[in-house]
Amino acid sequence: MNTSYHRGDEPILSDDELAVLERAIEAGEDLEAAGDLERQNAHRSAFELIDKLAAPIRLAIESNNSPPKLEDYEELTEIARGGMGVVYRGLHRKTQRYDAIKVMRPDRIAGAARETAILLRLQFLRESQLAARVAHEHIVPIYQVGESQDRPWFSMQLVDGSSLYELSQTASVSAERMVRYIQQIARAVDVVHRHGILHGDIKPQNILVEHQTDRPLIGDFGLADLAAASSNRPDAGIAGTPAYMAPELARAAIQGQSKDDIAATRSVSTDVYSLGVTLWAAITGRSPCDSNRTPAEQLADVAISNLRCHNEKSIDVPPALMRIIKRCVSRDPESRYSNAGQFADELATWLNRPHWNRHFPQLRRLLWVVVAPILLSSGLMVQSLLSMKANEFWIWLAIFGGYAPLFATFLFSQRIDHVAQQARRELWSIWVGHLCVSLAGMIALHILCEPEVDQVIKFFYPFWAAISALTFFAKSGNFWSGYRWLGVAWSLIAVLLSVTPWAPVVFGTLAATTCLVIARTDRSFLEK
Amino acid sequence: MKPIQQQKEEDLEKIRPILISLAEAMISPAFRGHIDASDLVQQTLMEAHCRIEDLYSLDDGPFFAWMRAALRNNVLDAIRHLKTAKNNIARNVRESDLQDSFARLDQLLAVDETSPSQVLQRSDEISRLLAALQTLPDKQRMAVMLKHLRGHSLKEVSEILQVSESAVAGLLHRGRQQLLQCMGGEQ
Repeated sequence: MNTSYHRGDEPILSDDELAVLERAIEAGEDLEAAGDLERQNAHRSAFELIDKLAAPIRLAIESNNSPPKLEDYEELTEIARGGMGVVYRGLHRKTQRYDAIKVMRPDRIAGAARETAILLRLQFLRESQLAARVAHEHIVPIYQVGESQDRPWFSMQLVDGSSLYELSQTASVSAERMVRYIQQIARAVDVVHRHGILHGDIKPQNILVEHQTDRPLIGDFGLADLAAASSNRPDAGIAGTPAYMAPELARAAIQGQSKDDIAATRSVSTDVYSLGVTLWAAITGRSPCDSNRTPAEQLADVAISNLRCHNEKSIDVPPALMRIIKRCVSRDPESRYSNAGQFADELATWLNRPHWNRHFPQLRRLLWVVVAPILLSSGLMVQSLLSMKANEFWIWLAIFGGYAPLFATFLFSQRIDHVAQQARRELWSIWVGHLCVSLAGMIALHILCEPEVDQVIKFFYPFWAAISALTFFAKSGNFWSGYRWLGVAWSLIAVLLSVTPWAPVVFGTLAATTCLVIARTDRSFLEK
Repeated sequence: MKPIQQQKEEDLEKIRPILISLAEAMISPAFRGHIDASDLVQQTLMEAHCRIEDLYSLDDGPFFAWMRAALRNNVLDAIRHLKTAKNNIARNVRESDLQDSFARLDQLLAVDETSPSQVLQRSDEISRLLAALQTLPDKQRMAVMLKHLRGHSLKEVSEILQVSESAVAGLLHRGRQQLLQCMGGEQ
């Protein structure tokens, strides 16, 4: 220990002078040049020596429970605790508005060497200052950045809402809505990337959806590296769960590269990857990794892309959307979207695809309450009319009566937007085509088989089923991909109808069943 | 008494001031008058004394760790006791936070023969600082602890100790000088 602080050598200062000095050191101000510099410097050295020795204990003891004292805020209560900081809810004295305040956790820097601690603090401040520069409606705005009692903090908007993760755990949120959220977030991330800031830790837990406005917001930009750098864990360099991390990052972490090297591996492309996985997880409500495995095993899975979003087919994710996600989560960074904006564009295109139930909100119920029974009874009626040798006119009326509820819905449905209008036009053409071809078939068969009514009907049903198969194939392109399988099914039904003597009943039953299948499984009906 | 056991009894006395400082630093000044740090340490030492047969096989590092764990339990018990007594301050204390603090202290102070020299040195410095604190007069010790171990400002220390800021500055100054002298003298 330096002996120059020996009490005997110390010149005497009055308590008042000492208090002035003490306050100056506390405030981090330079000492007054007017005073006795030697004495002041001796005092400062003693202060710093003791403080340096005591700092680790102070940081360890300092209860995380006690919120820091901030000049502008009062009523601080803890609301969340992350790896890097503690988030408090606090009332801003001047604006009388409640904000969220994120304060760096003191124990994060407690164990670190003095230089590292200073570096971390500076980095925390720098990152929050950078993030504060970006203004975007989908980024949690940062209001103030400061430092109090060696703990850097920043205040941001207090978002009243749930995280995307919480929403994904409830079945009521449709894929459509999740895609809209991620599309908006991808736009925001793109803007931030243009400012040269990477997020580094995009996951459903980090995206908040405001209850009142249904607006998704993302925060914590650029803090991922910082969280990793301040971590004392052996697998340091990894921030948070590995599940949303790009494979090249996971590989770098497994190879034991330094934190700086891992940070250098982060790029726009790794953020795009995380956005893709986040979207998959948000829609399916599952983690891309097997949660039964240990974090180390999960990390290995990520590195070799042994993930659920690669291996499993999910009925919840429409194929067109899955193609977009697959491109995001590609192992090769080169084959991903080159920026988040491009990803957002693709999602927007998907969202704006023709969408048939937008203008038929009641169609689902109509399908099983009206259309299915009418088709079934039409089949039964034709069968009984045939057995009664009734007039051909009544038989055709019973057959074509099945079109009535379908066209009624078209006529009574309202015009909504131009996209829905496009879908409506497409459906209209398909079904009018279906009707016209059926009528043409009927007339042709009538001429060919005159006067054998039984014969006409026998030929008509397989033909009618084949026409229906064609319409389902036509719809599968722009609407629900399940129509493809209905098309295949109806092709087979066409063959089946040519061998059964009960064609009208079989047709009616299968048509009614198809209506029920569509009403039950077409996901677009479940969307709000 | 076996010599090694006697050695451990002496160790206990050496650890006493360190533990008292730890307990004093750990217990919020708001509990003054409710919880007495030296009582808790006395209780901890008694427990160690009763189990000296089990403890004397331990090396210094694990021995110190055992003592800290025992002290932690006693501090937590005392807080719990205050909670059941409907003490308003105690009700706002979260035990998990206290446990976290103790765990972080353990990280700082835990050493064994495999610890790197840097860690050993830091742990040793901290122990010497804690021991040296007990050589200070009460007022000076309180001021230095509040200021440097609990991170209060000059103004806050003066409010807690209910003396003027100038007086606190004097206490701090003299306290620090004596600490440095005491620690320097040991070296």
